[in-house]
Amino acid sequence: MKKTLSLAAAMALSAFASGAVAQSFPESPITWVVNWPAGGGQDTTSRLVADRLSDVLGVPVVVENYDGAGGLTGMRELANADPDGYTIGMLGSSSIIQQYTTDEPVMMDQLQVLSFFGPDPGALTVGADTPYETLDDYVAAVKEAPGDVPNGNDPPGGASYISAAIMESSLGLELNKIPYAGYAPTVTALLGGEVQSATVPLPQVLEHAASGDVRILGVMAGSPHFLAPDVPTFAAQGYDVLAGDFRAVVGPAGMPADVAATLSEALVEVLSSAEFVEAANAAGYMIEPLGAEEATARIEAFDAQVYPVLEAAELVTNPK
Amino acid sequence: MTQDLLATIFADLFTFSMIGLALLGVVLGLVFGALPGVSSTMALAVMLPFTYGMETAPAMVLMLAVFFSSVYAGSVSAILLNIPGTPGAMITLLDGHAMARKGEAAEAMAYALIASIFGGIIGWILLVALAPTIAGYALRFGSPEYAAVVLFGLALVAYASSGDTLRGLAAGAIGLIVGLVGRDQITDVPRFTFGTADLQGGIDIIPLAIGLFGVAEVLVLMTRPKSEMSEIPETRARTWPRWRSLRAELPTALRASTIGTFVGAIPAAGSAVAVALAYACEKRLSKTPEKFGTGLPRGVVAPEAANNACVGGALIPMMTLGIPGDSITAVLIGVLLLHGLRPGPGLFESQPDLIVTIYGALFVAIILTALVAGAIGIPVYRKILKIPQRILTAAVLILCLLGAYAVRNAVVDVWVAIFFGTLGFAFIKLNIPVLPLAFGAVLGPLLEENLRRTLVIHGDVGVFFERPISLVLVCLSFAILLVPLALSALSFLRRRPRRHSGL
Amino acid sequence: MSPTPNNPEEAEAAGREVINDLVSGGLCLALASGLAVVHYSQAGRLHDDFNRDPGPALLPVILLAALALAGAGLGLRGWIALAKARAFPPLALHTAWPAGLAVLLMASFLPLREVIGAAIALPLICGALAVLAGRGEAARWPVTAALGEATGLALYGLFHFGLSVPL
Repeated sequence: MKKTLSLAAAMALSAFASGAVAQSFPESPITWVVNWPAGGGQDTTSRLVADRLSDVLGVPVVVENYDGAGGLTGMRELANADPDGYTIGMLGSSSIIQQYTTDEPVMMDQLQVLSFFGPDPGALTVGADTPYETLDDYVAAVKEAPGDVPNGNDPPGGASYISAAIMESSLGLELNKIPYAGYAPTVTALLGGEVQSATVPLPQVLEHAASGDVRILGVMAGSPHFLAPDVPTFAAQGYDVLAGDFRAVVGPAGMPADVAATLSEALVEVLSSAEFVEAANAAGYMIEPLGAEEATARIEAFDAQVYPVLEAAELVTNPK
Repeated sequence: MTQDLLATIFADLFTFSMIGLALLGVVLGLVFGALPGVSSTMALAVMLPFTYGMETAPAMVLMLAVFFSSVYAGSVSAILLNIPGTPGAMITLLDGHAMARKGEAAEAMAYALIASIFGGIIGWILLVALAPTIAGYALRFGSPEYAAVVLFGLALVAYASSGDTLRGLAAGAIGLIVGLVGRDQITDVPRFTFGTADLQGGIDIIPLAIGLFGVAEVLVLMTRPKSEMSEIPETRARTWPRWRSLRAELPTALRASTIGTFVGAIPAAGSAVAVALAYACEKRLSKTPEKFGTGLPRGVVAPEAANNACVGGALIPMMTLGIPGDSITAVLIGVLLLHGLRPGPGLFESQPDLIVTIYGALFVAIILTALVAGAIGIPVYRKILKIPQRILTAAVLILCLLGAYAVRNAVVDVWVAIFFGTLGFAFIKLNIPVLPLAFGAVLGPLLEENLRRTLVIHGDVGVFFERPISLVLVCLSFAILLVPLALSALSFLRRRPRRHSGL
Repeated sequence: MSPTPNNPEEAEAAGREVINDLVSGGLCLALASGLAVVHYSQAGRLHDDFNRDPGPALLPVILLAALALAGAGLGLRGWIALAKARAFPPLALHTAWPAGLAVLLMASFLPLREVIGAAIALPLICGALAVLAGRGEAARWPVTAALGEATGLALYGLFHFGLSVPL
């Protein structure tokens, strides 16, 4: 169906001057690819943006979930779509990491960055019945018994695994990294006492910290998290650790410059609106609207930070 | 709490607009859920955009109505067409479709509905009365316990699947190997992916089951000689079972509902485990275990009660801990997040009204599902069998293709359904049981992941015998597995036994 | 598979089981050895040492061994029984052609979807499947085909518009 439509579009294009079509972009519904199932963070944030983006652009923005292969199915759908601006989507840090760790990956040069959505910094959380009251206690204990303190995180290559690995390499620690399939089982294990600490993003443990079941020892970001301004950053406690997930909006590489600019401007407009920021913050998401160029720079900086960590963990099968 | 709940149900939820919304949700759930491959998750995702503009309470009423009714409706395609739309329905079809082939399709759907409602209500009562207690127990379920319960489930399935031991072993091994495909959950190393990206996420269980049961069944039907080809006999007039036969199923429904609620409350255990445990447990307790699989109502009641009790169970960790137990509750949490609410321990104090509304809404959804499905659903569903066989056959195969694709919009899943359809056809022709394959693929990855995680945390397997829950489950599993094996070995030594082979 | 079949039908059924054992045993052994080659030739971290974790390579080896064992057992049982079998059912591979054709029709969906789109491919395949399923029945085939195509179109509409599945 999509192919027949694009065929028809191509024929229509050849009939008219190509510039005229681009000027009237967008004139039909836009597909927003989410590479994770409905209900997750990627999906919730995408739906928040897509809903408002359709008001700004004046055409429906339809969210489609392409789940599978650890997010790769959706990325391939995105990379292989026609670069006409009618297929865009969201990616997270896992898509950057997968470039180096999977077979048949989708490389970043197959995609074109449109805007930055926001960071989702990592945090270090410990169970309430562990002896660690401060970050100092924790670091000292891990140094004393290298490889013994169980930390809950994603399977190797996942965002919270990378956060743990960055913390390890920055502070010279060695954890017993226990992989769980996603944040829900990780938090369950932390609450049940199967792991002593976890490196999941702060919103995942916020409610449990409020009820006193866990203690958040520090945030791996430049400034405290808006949801928990009392939790200090790692840097404020003398530990230089910056890690975490992020989200950005991308499309297939090769989009016409004016189409990309239209999309990028519309996205930044949505992401900057007070009403949107309020809704996103209420759902627990940090917003940092950046245009295409700055977003690309941020993603490249993440790439440069994470590649040595992946190499040190011997996860790289597809070297740079 | 109880008074608040009653007041909420009667004052706030029995309003024209709320009932209308719930009714809409139930009808949509009954339509979507009956389509193979269109799981409750997908039915909810389709409804998600409509909740943006709503208040939180009506949004949850709509979503819970779709949720519960679509879980029941999953049994419809299993019974009528032998296509399991959800992992939970894989067991229902064994006896459910056998009943349909005997001309008792309507009765099977009625049993499924009554069991579903019963299971739903038991799950709801446990949710309302004991949610924090059960959540505490679910938290104590660490990796060793998890591994032990899955082992127990596999042992029960091995016990429950009748037929030849060697062929069952072969099918089970193939199923477990299918479960290995994809990236290993512990080390992220790909296995049996043949260097492709498509298989890295593993083989999804729904396309597999659609192929193995749905496609294979139709292929067998197609090769039958004309002389043997008979339409499914005219459905018998009786739809609703007699009160006396219903009362006989009460202990089964109670046991299955309890299992369903508790297993559903363990994050990520899912309905497939609950259903397997409930069915195998009934078969173990039955005086006539050999009748299971031949169209026994009990074989429909047990899995359906467990499957729908899981709904209440899955809401327990979501409401008390803010942890989604499965993909369905993940969508519900998404709805709450989009409304600026963060489920978790704080929700009970900060938003007690909302908790009561959610509990009330689930109750209304259960009751409306019973009414709508009983009055309109079953009479309409049974019309499906009136479609001429040649059209129905083609439609079922097309539904299998579409259903497999719709699970996660992945092209590879269509190939998976076709592949396992062919494999299932070969299995039927070679008289190899398919059930061990399906359950090996469901339970195998869970067992391996939790077993190895246990080893990474605790260092050795001794921990299984130090923790009470895992000790009991592991011992029971070995007893179930080894006793029949020892018996059959004994009888084999006493000259060759008489073999009855069959599915 | 009782040792002394009483009538020709039972003898034939016993013979069928012997053939089933031999065929499935052979298939299991072939599958196990093929996958073993894939498993042992895989590069990367699969065969690394993972300290406390027994590693991702252990379970596949156990399962492949179990499959090979089951296959060998089936083959052996079939081979032993082969000598005693009195009668075999006629090999009826040719009766499987409708199933094969149905699989081919289903498999043609994905390539066809790329060329002509799912909206046209599904009704075509559904019509063809209906004609295949209705062969030999009293109904005239053009009517069956038309009905099948209408069904295919309806199902397409249901999934594409009703469920917004991107087909």
